[in-house]
Amino acid sequence: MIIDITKCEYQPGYMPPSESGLFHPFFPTANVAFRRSALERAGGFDTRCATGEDVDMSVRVARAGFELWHQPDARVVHYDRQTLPGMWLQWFNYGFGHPYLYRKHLDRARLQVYRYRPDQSGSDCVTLRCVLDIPFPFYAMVFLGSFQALHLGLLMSVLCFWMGWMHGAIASLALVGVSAVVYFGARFDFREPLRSIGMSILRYIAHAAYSLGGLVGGLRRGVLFVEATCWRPRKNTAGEEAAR
Amino acid sequence: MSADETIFSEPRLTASVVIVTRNRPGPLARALDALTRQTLAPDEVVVVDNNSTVSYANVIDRFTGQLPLKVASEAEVGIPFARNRGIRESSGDIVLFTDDDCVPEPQWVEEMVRPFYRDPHIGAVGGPLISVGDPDSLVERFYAAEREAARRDH
Repeated sequence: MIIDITKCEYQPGYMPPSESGLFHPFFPTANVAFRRSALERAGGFDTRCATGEDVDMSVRVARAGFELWHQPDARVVHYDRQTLPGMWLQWFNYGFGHPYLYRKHLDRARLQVYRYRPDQSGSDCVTLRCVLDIPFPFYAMVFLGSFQALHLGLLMSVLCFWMGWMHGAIASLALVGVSAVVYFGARFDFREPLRSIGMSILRYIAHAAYSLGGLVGGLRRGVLFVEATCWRPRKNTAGEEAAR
Repeated sequence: MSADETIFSEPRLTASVVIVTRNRPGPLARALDALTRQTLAPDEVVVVDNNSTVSYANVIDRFTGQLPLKVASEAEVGIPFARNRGIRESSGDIVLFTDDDCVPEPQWVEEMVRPFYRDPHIGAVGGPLISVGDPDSLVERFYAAEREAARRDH
């Protein structure tokens, strides 16, 4: 449930239908309009949503048989003063709200595993590929990326050292090394090493907040929820606005 | 503007703008000011006060003559509660939402309402959010770097 059209460069037109139950196009409530009849059919905003009530509403409006239309010329400027604690809280809260939505819109308990899929259309959209979808005793959504592999490796190496299984520990540390190279290397610019390191740290902090939010929110809702840490950044800032 | 003539031929769809606010009269005034400068004036602007502890009297006074303003309050703190209050208190065929820290561009209402005329099956219309932060702040520079990297990926 994380496809946000404001991060996609769609032309005006109908939003594509959801490819899976989990990831659905949605409009954030800072810039959205509803036909009153659609709101009446969908039944208002879900007051149990901690965050993501906008995602939930777009899903329900679509499921009630209505189309979602993207209008790129209907622009809203959003003024936010981003601080590091603010960024942490924002991503934590996004993650925290997702497990409820996941459970709400999935008809029965399943284990779903997702991977990142680079978008082929050239748009800015995040797309994910479901690589496993099986009935399961409880709700579980696991995203597998380099960030998750890095932490899985760390966890396994600690366990292996603790149990005295050195071969396992070395293999786990190898996983940590490879994942770290993939995770941090993907955004590394050798012309600006210091800046790259700084930005990688910020990216790691945002992903950590997002993942932690998903795990904690999941515990509360009885869902094993490993967040899809492949979000795209917001589209424009003052600098780009001035440049246009 | 022949396209507009077709689009806005009868029956006209009325538009209500709903803004939820909590303790931010200054930014709300900026948002309401933007609504006074729309190419298509909204039929109604509903401000939902979500249990604020600061006074909105100055802002409400200032815009009462300029906008078809309606003030509602929702004591239950939470965005979904307040937005539902806004839906109940508004009467337009189309309900537009924005936030108190946002500024809609002048053609916003017109562009948001326009698609609803072309197809009765359209239930929701959304547009881009352009974030304006302090470009020198660490977090803004980070988001800018991520966008740059995303562009390189393609």
